[in-house]
Amino acid sequence: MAAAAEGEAPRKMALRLAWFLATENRRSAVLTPLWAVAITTAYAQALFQRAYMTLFDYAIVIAICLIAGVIIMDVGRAILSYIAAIAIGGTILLILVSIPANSSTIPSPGNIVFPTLWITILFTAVFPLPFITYLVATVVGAAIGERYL
Amino acid sequence: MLSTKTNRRDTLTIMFLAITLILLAVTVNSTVNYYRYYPALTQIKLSVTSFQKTTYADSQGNPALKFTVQFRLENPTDYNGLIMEKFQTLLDVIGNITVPQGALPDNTATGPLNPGNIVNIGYSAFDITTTAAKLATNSQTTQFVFYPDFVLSSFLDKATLVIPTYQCVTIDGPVTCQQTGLSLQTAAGGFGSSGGGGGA
Repeated sequence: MAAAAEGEAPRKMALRLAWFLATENRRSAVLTPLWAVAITTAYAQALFQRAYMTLFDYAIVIAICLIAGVIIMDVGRAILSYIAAIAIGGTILLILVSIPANSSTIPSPGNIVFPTLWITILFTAVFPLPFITYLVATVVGAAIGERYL
Repeated sequence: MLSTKTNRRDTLTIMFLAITLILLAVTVNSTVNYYRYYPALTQIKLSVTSFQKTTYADSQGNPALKFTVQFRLENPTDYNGLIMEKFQTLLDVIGNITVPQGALPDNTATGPLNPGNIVNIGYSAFDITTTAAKLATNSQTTQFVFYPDFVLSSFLDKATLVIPTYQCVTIDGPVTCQQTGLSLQTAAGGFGSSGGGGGA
């Protein structure tokens, strides 16, 4: 009886997961926010430690985009999802860096200077070359997915 | 065939979820530390722990005064990753008039300012000008006002140098300094953005 109950839980979880990934739209709806979070965290762990991205950090994001592209398996959908993910990720990151640099912790004009500085840091860390490289990685991933998966 | 394809995709999706969760776990620590950064900038505590004056007459019989002063820096916050560098201070001797003494000799003291760390900066036997010495010997309430600043080296060094400024007013003993501002200087080879300062 207990063994049957134990086997029931993973089966229910697998069914739930299968439902989420049953259609391409649902899969994209799950994958895009996940992709955005992955990009955000890859950037956050680098920028909060040294304020710039190393080649290794860029490689992590490239790998994320490649895997996401493979999962999506459709070049057009992958490009759209990438743009959505990078937009969501960038917004989350900008909010994340700006929240602590507010007027209650830093006196004026520091509360304006720090967020402005962060916009510059983020912009230089994302545009233009990394943005294009991630896009290429996404397209290559989607092509690999279409061909081999 | 279709089933295998779907399963591979599902496996890859689960792997992707796992990678994201691992990245998220790795990031939590540095994000929490980052959220302590700004409060730390404004809460770094600077104090004068020792201030001793010695009055004497110089070779021409004029009153002369030399002093030793010891500053102490500590980080009362939980932020990890600050290093104190390039400590310097100006001095004014203020009685019924203000006699600026300019900058004290450069101090090479440097050290990490992680929670619990203390950095001591000492100046020994600094002679003040004759005018200031007269002012100090004639009145017991003459104030020695130090205007220290230093570079708070941090993870942001590539983008900007953070320089807090303080004011320490002492007559003849230890005192806690007040932070008067926080200025940002564009680092050489940095991001090209420059910043102004803010009074605390």
